[in-house]
Amino acid sequence: MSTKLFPTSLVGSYPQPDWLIDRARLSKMVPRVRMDDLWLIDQKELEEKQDEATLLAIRDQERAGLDIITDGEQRRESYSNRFATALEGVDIANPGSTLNRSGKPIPVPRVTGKIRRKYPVQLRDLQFLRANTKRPAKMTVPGPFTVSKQAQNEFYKSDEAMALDYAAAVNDEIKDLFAAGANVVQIDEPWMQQHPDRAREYGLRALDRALDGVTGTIAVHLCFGYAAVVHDKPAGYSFLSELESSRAGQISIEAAQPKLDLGVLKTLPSKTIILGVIDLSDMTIETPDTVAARIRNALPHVPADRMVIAPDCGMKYLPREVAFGKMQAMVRGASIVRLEESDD
Amino acid sequence: MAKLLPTSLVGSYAQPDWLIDRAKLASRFPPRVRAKALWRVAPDYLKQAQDDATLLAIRDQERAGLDIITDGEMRRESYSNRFATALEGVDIEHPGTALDRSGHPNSVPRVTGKVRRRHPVEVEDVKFLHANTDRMIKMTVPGPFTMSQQAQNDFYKDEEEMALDYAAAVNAEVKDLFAAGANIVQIDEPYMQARPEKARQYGLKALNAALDGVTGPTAVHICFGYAAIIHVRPEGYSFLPELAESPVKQVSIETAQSNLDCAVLEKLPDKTVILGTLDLSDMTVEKPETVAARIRRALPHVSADRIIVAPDCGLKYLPREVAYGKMCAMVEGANIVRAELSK
Repeated sequence: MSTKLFPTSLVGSYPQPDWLIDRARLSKMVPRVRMDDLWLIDQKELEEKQDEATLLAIRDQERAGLDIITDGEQRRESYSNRFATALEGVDIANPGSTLNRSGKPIPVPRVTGKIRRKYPVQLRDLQFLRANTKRPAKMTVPGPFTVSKQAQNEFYKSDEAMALDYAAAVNDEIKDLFAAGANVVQIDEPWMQQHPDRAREYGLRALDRALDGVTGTIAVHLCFGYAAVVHDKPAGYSFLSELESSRAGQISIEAAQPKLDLGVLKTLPSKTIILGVIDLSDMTIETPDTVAARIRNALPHVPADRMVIAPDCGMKYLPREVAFGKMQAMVRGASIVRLEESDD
Repeated sequence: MAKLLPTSLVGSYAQPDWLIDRAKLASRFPPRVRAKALWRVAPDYLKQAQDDATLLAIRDQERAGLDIITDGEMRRESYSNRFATALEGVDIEHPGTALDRSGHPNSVPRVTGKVRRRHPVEVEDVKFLHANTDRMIKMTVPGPFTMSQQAQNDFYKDEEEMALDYAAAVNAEVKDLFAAGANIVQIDEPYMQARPEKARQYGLKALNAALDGVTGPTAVHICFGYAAIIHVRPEGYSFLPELAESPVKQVSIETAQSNLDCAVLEKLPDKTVILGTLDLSDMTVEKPETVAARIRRALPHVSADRIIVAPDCGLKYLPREVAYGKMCAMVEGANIVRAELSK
């Protein structure tokens, strides 16, 4: 990995082109089952056009100057459903229902049998990313706890047992991703923040199961929900310090939009912090100085060599030109603080 | 430019399959009127898709290491029809017919009134290119002589008069392209080679008119036709030394596929030569050493400080991975010769 201070990275997603997916409908709800009709492309051409959108996302990140590159999740309707709907044991044709984090009922996969990974789901995605950038590559996978909360359990005796089987599926996937050249694999567990009691009960155990025998660099992303979908953000995480005991090396948090009290980061003394410095509720592009100030806010609590600079969350719902501008501001802001730190 | 042997495309880069139906594109003559059915993206999204394809063409050139960047002509069905069909005085709904350079009839704009440029055609294209690369940029426009050969004259008393009005339209465009940030504007005149007598009669005059009052560096490209469409190559140009008299600074020629005797380049002592070093009839990616040898072949006849290294012609019809590989080979080949020259 980069030894440079304050390397920059996306959390995961980057805006998808209008010619690929119906962006107006995309931002209305986050699909947990499949929404094939969001794609504006015939099935037989879809992968080719998703590849092309992925190339664009990679090149935009490189041009903006990011140090760690993702595939922008161009092939996904949501961060989680590409993986979650590919598993054995789930019925997506006759979905169940659960409450999303805004409290609205949404269709979710109905678990009717033992959860198993049938085949690698995102392996080709990672291979494509690896083949198309020389920079370090990060791939995101949905976390077992979050996926278990986005499902209707009609098979397992407990949600914990279900989450542990999801974890085994994620574990298989992570190992394949590292074997194919991923530099970082990030597990997206936004619902740990949403359901902190359940997360404490068995979410951490599921996370550990997902990391069993994994040796590469693992990140965990926690957040308050997409700015486009969730508008009121609390001032602090209800689940965060618990991750200190996990095997993940990096924790991705949002700090820009919620104006988080960064003192909480002292409770993660062994972790690298992927610090959210881009507010995704604001379509104004930050100045590099604003970004620099947000990085400096964390410095009393996290040493400079344990920080990765990132947006608060995925950029999926932003207009692309805004997302690109924000990436550039982020890179410039990181450069400002890097220079200051090297002067000390 | 300080760097010896800078590299550049001629103009076009391989368009992606998802954007345009490449099989159909290659199975027909280059469109002279519009061929909207070739596009594979819905009209509402076509502009963004063309912009995105352009971004990828720019990034591929940058990654390959080219010094001068084009927009890859991603928005064009052919090198000439985006400009030629945007003009006043041409009827594209009821096209006429003209013989292509292969001798086959092709649908062409029918000239039914005075040819005039209604509005800038490629200015947004060059602005987009300028905004998306920090390197030098080149924009191509079809030449007035070639456009006059790809039209059916139902209005002018003679073709020369028509060509001169095409030239006035090109002239206005060239000036706008420089004003919008182009570093080089290239005029594509492949039909000067195909129709050398007419080119001598009035083609040069039309070219000069197109450059009237233009101060930025201009190039002219002449060739034997797309390798994908025109298969036989003559051994030499039937129209080339004549360009010594024109005010263009750069002349783009093909030498790789035609195995051109580069001695003819001595007839262009004041011009920078955009030297074609990639054979576009061969889907094998050249070795850098092959490119280097093709550059060396020109050196006895053109001083190194007057050479830009390029493919023979546009890369439009090549598979993208082949086009990309060839660009990389070209850059490495130029590096080899540059290192030799600096010794």
